[in-house]
Amino acid sequence: MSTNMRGLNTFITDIRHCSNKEQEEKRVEKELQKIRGKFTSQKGLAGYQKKKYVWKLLYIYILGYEVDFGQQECAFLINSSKFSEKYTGYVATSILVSEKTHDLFTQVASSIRNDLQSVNEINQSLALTMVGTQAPQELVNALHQDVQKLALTESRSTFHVRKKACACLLRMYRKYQDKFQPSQWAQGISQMFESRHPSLGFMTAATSLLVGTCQLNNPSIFEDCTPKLIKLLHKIAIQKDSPGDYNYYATPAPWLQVKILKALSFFSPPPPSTDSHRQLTECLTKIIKKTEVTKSINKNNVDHGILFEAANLVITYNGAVGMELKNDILKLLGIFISVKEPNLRYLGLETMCKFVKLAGDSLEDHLNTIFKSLRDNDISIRKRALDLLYLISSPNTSQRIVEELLSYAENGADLQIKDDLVLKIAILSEKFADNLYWYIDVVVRMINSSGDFVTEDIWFRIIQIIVGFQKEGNQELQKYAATKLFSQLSMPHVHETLICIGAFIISEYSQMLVEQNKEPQKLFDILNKHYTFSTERSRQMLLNAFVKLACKYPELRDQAIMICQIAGEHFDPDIQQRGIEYFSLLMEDDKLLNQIVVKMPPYSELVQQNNPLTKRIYVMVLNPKEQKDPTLLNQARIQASQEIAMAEQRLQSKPEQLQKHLSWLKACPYLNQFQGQIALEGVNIMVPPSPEDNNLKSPSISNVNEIKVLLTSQIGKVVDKPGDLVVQYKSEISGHLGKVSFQFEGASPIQNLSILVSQTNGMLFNILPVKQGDFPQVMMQVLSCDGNMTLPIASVFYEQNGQQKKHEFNLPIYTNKFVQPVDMPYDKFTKFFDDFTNNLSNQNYFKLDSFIRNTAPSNIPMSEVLKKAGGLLSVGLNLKAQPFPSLENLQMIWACGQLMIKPPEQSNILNLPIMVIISSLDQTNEFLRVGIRCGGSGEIAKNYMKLIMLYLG
Amino acid sequence: MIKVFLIVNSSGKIRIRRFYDEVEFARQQQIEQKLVQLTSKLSPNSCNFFKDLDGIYDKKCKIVMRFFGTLYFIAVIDEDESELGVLDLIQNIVDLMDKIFENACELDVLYHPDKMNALIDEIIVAGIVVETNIMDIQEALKQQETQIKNK
Repeated sequence: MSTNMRGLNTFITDIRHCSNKEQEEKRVEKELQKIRGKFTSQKGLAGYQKKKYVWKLLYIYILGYEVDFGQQECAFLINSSKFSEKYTGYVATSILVSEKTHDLFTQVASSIRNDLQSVNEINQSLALTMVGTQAPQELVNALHQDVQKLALTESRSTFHVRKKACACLLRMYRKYQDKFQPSQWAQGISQMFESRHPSLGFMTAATSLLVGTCQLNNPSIFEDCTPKLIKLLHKIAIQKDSPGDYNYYATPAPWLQVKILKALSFFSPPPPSTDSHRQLTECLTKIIKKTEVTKSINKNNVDHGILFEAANLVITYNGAVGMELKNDILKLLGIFISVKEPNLRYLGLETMCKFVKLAGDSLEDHLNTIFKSLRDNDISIRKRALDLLYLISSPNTSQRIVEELLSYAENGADLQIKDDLVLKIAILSEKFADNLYWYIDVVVRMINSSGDFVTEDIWFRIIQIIVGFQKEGNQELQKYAATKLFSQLSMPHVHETLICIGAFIISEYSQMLVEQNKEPQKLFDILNKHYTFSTERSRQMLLNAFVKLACKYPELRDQAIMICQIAGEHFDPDIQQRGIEYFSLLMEDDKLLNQIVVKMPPYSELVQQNNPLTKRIYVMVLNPKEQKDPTLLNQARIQASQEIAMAEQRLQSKPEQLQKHLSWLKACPYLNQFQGQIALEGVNIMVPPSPEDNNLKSPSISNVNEIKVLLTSQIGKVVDKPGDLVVQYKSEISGHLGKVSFQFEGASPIQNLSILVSQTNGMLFNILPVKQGDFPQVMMQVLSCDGNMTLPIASVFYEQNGQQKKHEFNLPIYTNKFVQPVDMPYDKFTKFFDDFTNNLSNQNYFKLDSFIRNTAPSNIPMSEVLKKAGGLLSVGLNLKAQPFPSLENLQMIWACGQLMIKPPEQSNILNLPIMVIISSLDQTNEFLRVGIRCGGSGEIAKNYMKLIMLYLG
Repeated sequence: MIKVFLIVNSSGKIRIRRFYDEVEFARQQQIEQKLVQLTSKLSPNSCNFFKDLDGIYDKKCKIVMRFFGTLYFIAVIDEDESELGVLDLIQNIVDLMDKIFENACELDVLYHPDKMNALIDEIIVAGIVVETNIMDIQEALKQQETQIKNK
């Protein structure tokens, strides 16, 4: 058997007989030359010839060679009246022609339209398949109405054509979302599920179209479909009323069942005591209770595919339907994770992760099985098991789980999983430590077994915990840690990270060791023993330790001086610097030395709550679908981000700071002018940001240009890292949504570029796949979700000239970008403003008042300064700013706007009011008064204040 | 959505190559190479699917592989697709090939790029599975062939 093109067959045979790659390349090169010659020669080629050569090109492409000519011949075959040529044209165009490199599609658009509108369903299908594969812009422009009509309206077209039209339409919509209004499809889609004798293939495509559209759009416009989908599912699963051809291993239309269950998860559960509720319960019960494990793997795959989807639906509905099936699901999952078949083990574990919240602690019965999966041969299964263990940890189980994870880390865990394993051990041991000795034991074991994977943030955290938080550290803990590390460091070979921690703890709490009859000299020797074989990093830590010890125990000073003196000539500049500095320090007298080397104070409570490790595990980009995911993992993520935000807020409005600010305000001689307009009592009074806690700081907004970028509405900007990378980016934001597109250029080619956005408080980023190439491009969508925003940082990782590189820069997206001006009469504005100011107990509004220094030269009149402020408020901060009493006699600028945010857990957009007043003072030109009132979060006021201070200051 | 569908033989030669999203040629090659490397890890005792944690295609995607005779069937799918569903689909495609070629083997795939591509196009359109009924697909293919012969 072979195709009926002899030339093609010969070519394929030739290729088959090539014994190595070089021969094959040679043969392909020869053929390409020949075809190129034929295509470029003046003599016209017969249709058959063209077809044959195009198939050869296609074959060469499939072999893995780039085909950079002949596209025109491919596309023009579509115009042929001979079917076999037209067919070849369609297949080859969809595979070989890219709209990026060839501008051919306009020239064939009209024949494609003819085919779409013809009555020949084969031609219609071919056209839809081709357009659907790439959805080139020109064809989408020309044909989208035809395709919509074919997919959505029941006309002459057959189900065979309509199912392909559905797929094609979805592809077009995904690529050019702004061209389509899915709300207009709602009726059409809903009607698709009404047909009395549906073609199940068509139903499958229609359900995919529904799922795909819901993904990109608000699903509620299709809510109508729920009862119809349930009815269809009921018909297939319970009544078995479907054509026998669709039975697959005796299961009716499994693919469609899976799709319907998936689609249902986008909508609200059917209300109790409706037909739909009853039918769906019946379906789920049957699927979950009646599915068996058989000997045929294929049969199992088919049935379990449906089963997992059904379990997922019960989880997504959060028990609103099928809650009574909870135990059955749990039992099944328990079986699945213990069977031989690896696919089921994997999916069982994954589904359990989602199930944690519904199931509560009943998952604990399966701990032993999950432990076994942690040592499965298959890495994907091991990773799932680790995730699951992390999620089900509770005060009851944590010790057992941590012990198991540790022993896994100590023997058996491989490189691919250790990173994650170590992070999870570190978090769990801290979170569930009811006794801190246990914590120390765990982390020491962890470093001993997996030290290379203990990142800086982890070991910094360990030191923080030992030093302690709030007022006084836990001395028992410190003593225990010091003793433990002392004995650990007595061993000849110790992991570098342990040396770093040991150097810190032993020198910091040396007193406690000396009290246990350990000689200071012994402490010094134990540390010094590791000095010669250590890396630069731990040598730095050790030098610190030597100085600290020498300070407390004068008998050690000479030895420390000697080491520092040698270090002062070290080739590593950091060590050299430390050596020289410590050397001269040790030469000073005791008094000075004791002032410099003091005991480490405990960390603030904030540091305790703001655990960078938890942050790391939860710093993830949530896409819109995941936001709806009601599973525990997601909830934990949201909760963590809230905790982090609250902890940060606490730092910024410490009571002492507030008291200081209020007494400063009260003492201001200019206060009288604003009697009753400045909030001096009550809740939610914010303190203006001080330069130190400026979260605009890192990496840094250092110059005027960068501030300007923050203030313009549309940004086109270039970040230049001299020599190797130029980043151009552009952002557009309207309402609560925005998009940023980047292009990267380098002096030499940039490869494998990836980008990550961090510090995204208050915003959600969805980063689309990077378009690699000579000038890599990437698009990201951003959504505001919380008033507490920080300036996000973009980190770009890439390869250039074989080197891995990294570059960081700020994205100029900040509170003001999501604000829209609001027009309001002056009397209404003052009424609101005063109400907010004087209502002492209203928790909803936040107030910030301050006097800021006027930095304009003294010869500039106040009215000009206020005009500049007005410009800032209206152009930069997107408020509606107006003069008072008039532009000629300017005393005050008042401005009003609203911040648009959409919290992930809510379905509607919130508009938070912002009101700002900047006015001059009667008595002096040295200061300006600034007052801000806002809803939502005090951070909004603080962020606005920050921008005003940056610009006017 | 199905992003990529490949059929590769056991020595890593590609027999069917379909990308349903725009991917530049160089990146296509990169993706294929990495996917082919992955096939070596597939054993009867390992899972047939995994998350694309290394971002071979996209970190949000999943990869499904199945081995038949001398051929690997590889699909990269997004989060909307069911892993077991795609395994069925592959089985379905194999069943269909058996019907069309009578005990299909690699040579059939090799010498019939036209038929194979037509077959795939009947099942997957624009990355969406539009038909799983073997009878229907056979019928559609037959009609197409008749039309080719007639004109």
